[in-house]
Formats: sequence, C-alpha cells, structure tokens
Amino acid sequence: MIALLIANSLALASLLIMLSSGLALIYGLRDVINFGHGALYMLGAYLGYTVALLGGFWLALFVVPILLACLGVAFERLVLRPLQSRSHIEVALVTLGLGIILGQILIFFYGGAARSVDAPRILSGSIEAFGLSYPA
Amino acid sequence: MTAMQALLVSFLIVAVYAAILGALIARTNPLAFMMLTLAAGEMISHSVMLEGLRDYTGGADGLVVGFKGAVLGMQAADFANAARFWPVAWTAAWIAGLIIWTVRRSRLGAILRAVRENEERMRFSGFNTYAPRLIAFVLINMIAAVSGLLHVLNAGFVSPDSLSLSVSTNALVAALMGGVASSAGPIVGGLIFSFAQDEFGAHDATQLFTGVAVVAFIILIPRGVVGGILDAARQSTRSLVGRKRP
Repeated sequence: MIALLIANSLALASLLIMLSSGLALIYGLRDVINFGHGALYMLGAYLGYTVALLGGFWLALFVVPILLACLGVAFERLVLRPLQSRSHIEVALVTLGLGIILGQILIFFYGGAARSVDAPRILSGSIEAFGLSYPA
Repeated sequence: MTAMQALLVSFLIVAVYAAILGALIARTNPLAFMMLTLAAGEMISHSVMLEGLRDYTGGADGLVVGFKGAVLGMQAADFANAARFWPVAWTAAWIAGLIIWTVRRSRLGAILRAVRENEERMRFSGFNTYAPRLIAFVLINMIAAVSGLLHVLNAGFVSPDSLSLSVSTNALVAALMGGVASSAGPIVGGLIFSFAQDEFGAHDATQLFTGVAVVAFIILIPRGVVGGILDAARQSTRSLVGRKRP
C-alpha cells in the first residue's frame, strides 16, 4: 500500500517538478512571476489530446512541445519585452489575465467535459516489481 | 445575541484578524505580500469547507442568514428589498470613500505615498514604515468587513463562494479599471465593472471579460480611467501653455 502511494506521489511529483522548475526558470532569468503557467500546462494537455487523435501519442509528444515553444517565443517578444520596464506586480497581473483568457478560449473550444488520451502499448498495462503490480 | 451585537462582534473579529495577519505580513515586499495574502485567503476559504466545521459553516452549501428584530431600524425583509437597501449601501460607500479621502490627505497618507515610492529611503530618513502600513492594512480590511456584512444582510445567505479568489480578482479588476492613483478611481472602476459584468454575464463571458480587462488596462491605460483622464487634461493644458509662450 505504501509502495503504491510512493509510486503515485513520484508520478505526480514529476509533473509538479516540471511545472515549478519552469516557474523558477522564468523568475530567475526574466524576473517574471508567471501566473499563467498553469494555463500553459492546460494548453499543452489539450493540444496533446488533439494531436494524439490525429496522429497518435508519439506524434503529440514530438509536436506539442514545439508548438508551445513557438508560443513561448511569441509571449516573450509580444508581452514580456514591451513590459520590461513595468513593475513586477503589473507583469504578474498581465500573465494572470492572459492565463484566464487562455483558459476561457480552451473551454470555448473543448467544453468543460474531461477528455482522455489512450496511452501507447508500451506505456499501458501494469508492470511487476518487487512482487507488486503497478499501476494496480 | 441580537443581530446588531452579532454584526459588531464579527466586525471586531475581522479587525483583530486583520491586525494579527497584518502584523505578520505588512513588513514583506510586494511580491511576498501578494503571495501571503493569497495564501491567507485560500486558508480561510478552505477551512470553512472542513467537514468538522460543517455544523457551523454549512460546508459548500453555505448558510441562510436570518435575524429577528431590527438592524439600523430595518427588518430582515427590508434588507432584501433593493429600494430599501440601496440608501444603506450608498451611504456606507460614501462614508468609506470619505474616510479613505481623509486618510489620503493626512500625514499618514503622505507617509504611505512616500513609502510606496521608496520604502528604504523612508526608513533611512528615520520614519517608522511598518506602523503606517499596518494601520492602512487594518483600515482597508475593516472597510472590506463592512462591505461583507452589508452583503450578508442583503443576500441573507453566505457560502464559500463569497470567500473565493474571484471576489478579490473582481475587486482588483475594478480598481485597475478606475485607477489606483486617486480616491475617485475605485469608485469609477466599481461602476464600470458592475455595468460590464452585467453585460458580459448575460453572454456567460464574465471570466473572459475579467482576463481581457486586466491585460488591456495594465498595458494600455496603466493609471486607469480616472488617472488617464487626469493625465490627458494635464498634457492638454501644458500644450496650450506651451503654444502661448513659444
């Protein structure tokens, strides 16, 4: 039981680590508190869903990061650079607002219902380790 | 406990809570302050959902608030009546506005403005920068408490929704729209915001409106409607004066 909890926490924690290291990176390098980071996470998930429907999971894993990288460049050029001389709070609020807008756009296109992506064969099913199967 | 006593006690509890919270966080820099107030708000809004407090807070269902007797000479039904409630809310808004305007013109207001511009320099000049910020924090929280108490009297109902982050973001957007540079800003902003929320709420686009308004106002009119008008007026008089004396 505890082994399962630890495995689950590690899986969730690795997602959180990726998110929070992104926040730390943009704060450290650009001095920006990005309240819109969660919305980008959500955009990645939904784009992943769409691309996975069209061309499968592996294509999504390859294409979506590139798409979001382009969005990141646009965000830097169009939002962060023009606002460079503004105070921290103002930039943070702009990212908060952009996050809300992005969230609403996604709800408009995808609706509020949950969507799921089928895992590829190599990642689906459970594995046996130390006499336990995971995921149970 | 009569209704009036209950209101007074809740008002005092908010004041004490604000003083304790303020004593802990008034010293921090703006970003830390933002994160700490956010955390404190989330703490309150989640603690009312606790299963153990369900008998007192009603959990996610909220509480129906009724009272017998009169408050400010009005019965419970009168507060639900928009025509009777309107003068009360309007008077409270005016009194709050006057208090803030008085503080702004006082010595305390001058110190607060200077601290906003450069906290470090004020401290080096021998000013206590902690006490004024604490007083300001407690004062605005007491005004917020009055507004919350009036909300309960009017709605006759309170639920965790009233404690959610969106209440704070709505107030923030209203302040940004009006401009925080003058006492009139939040008033104008509040009027514009309520009007816009009605308009966009009809199309189920309140959230989208909030996001767009935050971005548009910070980027295009950072000093808000009132600040923008003041700036424009100052600029046009300057250009007129400039033309007279080339």
